[in-house]
Amino acid sequence: MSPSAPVDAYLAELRGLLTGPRRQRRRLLAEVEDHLRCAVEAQVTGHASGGDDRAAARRAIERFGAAEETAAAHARRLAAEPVRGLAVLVGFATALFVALFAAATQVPSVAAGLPARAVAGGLAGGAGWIACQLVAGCAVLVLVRAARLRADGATSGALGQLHRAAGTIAGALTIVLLLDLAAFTRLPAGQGQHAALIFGLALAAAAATGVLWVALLRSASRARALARLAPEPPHDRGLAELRWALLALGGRLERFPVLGALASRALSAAAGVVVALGPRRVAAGCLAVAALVALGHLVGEGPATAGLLTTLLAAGAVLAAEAAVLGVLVVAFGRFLGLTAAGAAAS
Amino acid sequence: MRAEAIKGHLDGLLLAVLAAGPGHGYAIIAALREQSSGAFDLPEGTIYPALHRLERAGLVKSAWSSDSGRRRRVYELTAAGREALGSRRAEWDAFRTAVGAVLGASA
Repeated sequence: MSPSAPVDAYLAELRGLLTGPRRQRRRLLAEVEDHLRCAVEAQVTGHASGGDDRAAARRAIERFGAAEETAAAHARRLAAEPVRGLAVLVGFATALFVALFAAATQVPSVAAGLPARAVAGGLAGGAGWIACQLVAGCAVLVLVRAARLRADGATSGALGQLHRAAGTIAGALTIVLLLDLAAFTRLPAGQGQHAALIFGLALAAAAATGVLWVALLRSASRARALARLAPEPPHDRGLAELRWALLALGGRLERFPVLGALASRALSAAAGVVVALGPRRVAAGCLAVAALVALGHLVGEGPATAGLLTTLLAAGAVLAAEAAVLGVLVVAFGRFLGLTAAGAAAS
Repeated sequence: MRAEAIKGHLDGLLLAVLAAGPGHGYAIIAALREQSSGAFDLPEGTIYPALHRLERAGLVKSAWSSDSGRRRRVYELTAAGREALGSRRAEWDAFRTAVGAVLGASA
């Protein structure tokens, strides 16, 4: 075994663990190699007796830190890098979403006729309002998260939450873009100025949506690399928070006779379902409800003879979506703020 | 000293070492250890990502050099880095004075 064998083995191990662009990996490896060889030389010449090269190499490696630790620090830097750009894009996408939404409601050809149909009007208004809340909540979450991440350093858990919020905004923007395009294709003749407005906004939104998705996927792939090297224990504090809120609400309702007890049982069951389903299924369910509302918005523009049952169903869908969005935001912010059931009870 | 205790100050410490003149990674670590009388004994491997981050932020710049017969990356403070170091020092002075006024008062 040559004296530099431990250093060579360390470099080989590190090479296997490093992630990210090839140039940056090669640069770090070259720097690490120079560092370790310098450290070995310094130790050998520092010992009056000449010292043992292999023991010096092992000491140098020990001081340098485990290969996993070095690779994780490198991955952490790479994962934090795209966050600033992503936050700027999210800010831009949110502004664009508001502009698109405002345009879609202002243009007479799109809104025309909708108020006359109670169901369609209710659904469109409800969907828009809910989408605005979701996008605004997610945008605040992304911006605050990004600012905190710059100060505290990247972790896979924090990045995951940031990406989920940014993904929600990208998804909302995509849906609004599709709605906008659908409105454009249905635009009656004589609405030239509105057509230009809608088409221009749709073009800008298409470009912004594409850029946002690309940035999001790039950032998420770096976060995945970090999660592989420095995994965080899974925690569902956000869900526990939602469960606690549901149980607390049920407890308050219990003092009302009959209906209160029923509501309390229903909320308790809902709390159990939330925990049993887990965060992914809850999020997927919320998105499915939101998609249904969006679909209702499109279908509502067709011939509608709104009966009482349909109106009630539509109102129920809007309420469910609203509850789902609020649930998602409570979970997200609860996790972000690190709230616990005990802390919430104390306040 | 534990690595976590230095975490928030590592950027400032690296900038301060580089203010004395350009150097490669190993020399920066050696200077950090020497100037702190061995108190800052962190895993050496973690300073490279920190240096790369500072370079990305425009506070240091680096170039390959082969003066010593070995190819190595030499880091140097930029004007923005010097400015950042100045504000870090001012922040640290204010913090030290405030903590000293409270902690020192009971002595």
